[in-house]
Amino acid sequence: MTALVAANHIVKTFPRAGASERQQVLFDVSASVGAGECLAVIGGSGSGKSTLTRIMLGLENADSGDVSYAGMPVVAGRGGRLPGSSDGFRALRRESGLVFQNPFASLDPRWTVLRSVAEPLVLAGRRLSRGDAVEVVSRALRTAGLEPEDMLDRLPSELSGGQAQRVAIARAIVAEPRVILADEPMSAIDVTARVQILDALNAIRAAHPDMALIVVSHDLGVVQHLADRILVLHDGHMVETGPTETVLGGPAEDYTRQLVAAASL
Amino acid sequence: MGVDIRGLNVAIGGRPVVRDVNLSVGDGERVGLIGSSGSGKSMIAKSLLGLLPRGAEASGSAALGGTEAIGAAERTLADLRGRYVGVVFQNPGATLNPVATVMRQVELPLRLHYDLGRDERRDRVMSMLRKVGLDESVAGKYPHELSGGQQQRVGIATALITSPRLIVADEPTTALDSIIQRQIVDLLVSLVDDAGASMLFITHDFSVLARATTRCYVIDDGAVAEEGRTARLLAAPNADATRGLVASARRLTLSAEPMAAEPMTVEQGGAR
Repeated sequence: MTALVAANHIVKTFPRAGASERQQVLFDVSASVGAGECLAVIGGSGSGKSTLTRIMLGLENADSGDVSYAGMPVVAGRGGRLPGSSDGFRALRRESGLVFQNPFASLDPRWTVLRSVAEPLVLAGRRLSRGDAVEVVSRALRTAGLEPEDMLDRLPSELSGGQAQRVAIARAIVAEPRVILADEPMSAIDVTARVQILDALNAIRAAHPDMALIVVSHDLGVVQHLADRILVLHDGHMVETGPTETVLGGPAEDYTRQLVAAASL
Repeated sequence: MGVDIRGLNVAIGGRPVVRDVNLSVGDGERVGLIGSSGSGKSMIAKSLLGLLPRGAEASGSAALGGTEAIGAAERTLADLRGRYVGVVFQNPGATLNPVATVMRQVELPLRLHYDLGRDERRDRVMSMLRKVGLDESVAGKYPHELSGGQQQRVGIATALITSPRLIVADEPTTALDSIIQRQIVDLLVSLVDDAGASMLFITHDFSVLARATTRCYVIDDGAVAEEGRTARLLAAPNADATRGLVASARRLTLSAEPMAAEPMTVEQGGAR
């Protein structure tokens, strides 16, 4: 499979408060995801999994290493300059969707579900009548497991955590992106709602067979029914990577074994 | 008897949030309260601690070590909370004082509720930090210098410093990653058992409950839907609410045969 998004030999450091030397958070990490594939990036707090996937989506710059999208370089500018210079970057921003941990923080509290979910269409410059927008948004909500008639006019304050996260997922897919990043999409909600999110993400994969999905999680139990491939990170180092079945069935590294143990009942 | 709740009802703005709950935690027992978000499980614990929100109306009885909490004076409740109970909260980053060192946080309950000299307090804090697996050098640090797991260990040290007879743990691991989650649950269980104390453990997750408790109550819509040994509820849930929570936990738990969707083995479901 040729990679849709590929990150090679990524090194990343952050300034450390009150210290002159910088703290390294990624050590020569490479990762890729192909069209139609789901990659899960797994690791504990501070493992660098969010930083790696943000770099893959062009949301952050690497210190060294390169990122490509559909064969085009995603150019990482330096010195605080917006990394918006390359065609690869612009295409990636246009053709990707994002889902974050806290759905209420990513939904405007004053906007109805219809307006929030339709926003990416507006930003993409799609000119739609209200009727067409309702239809497109309704389709996205249904794919995410929500009943549109019941949802379109609600405000975020009228949603449960699980519903709000599915609204955020509907918004991420509404403009038919080629790649979606879901960063800890189930951490902030209860177990029952987590299963709904898992089902919604699987339904989206089935409805968009060419879409690539990158899921970030600290929980192997969550990704076992979702991911094709797993990359395990620990303290910024790649621990192991491989097909989900291989990594879960026979983890080669001690750290992965700990993650497997922690996800067992 | 550690906790004895009889016919507890709580309403907020006229809306019932706890409905006729009977619940007990025996001395040295670890008991779970499990339910989805909004099921009312935290309200039950808050009634017991006298921490209900303003405007909540409680009736019935909730006794802590033989002292009635419903309708009790604030001084009685504060003394109960300080001496008899230790509480571990969900988000340690938000419950620790950002401008106090670990030493000051952990010794505060001793300063408030006990008449001890400074050296005696410091000795106790140092020994407690070792018990929760923290290096003594942590004593001089501030919360922001600690990882989430270390912060929760400080939270546990603060809850246990007065040698309480009952630990109330309200979703203590939800904000932590899965490996740290397991470490914190195992730490709590060993500390509670070593001290011969009781624990009321509140969570939405059966996979955590299976490690933390031997018996539990399933709360649904403010009422007890089912009660029993945790291992039995996992293996043979009766009530719809229990079945839903168990099914969710199983879906999100690695099976022995990882890619098999259903079913999964339960032989490790009991108390350790």
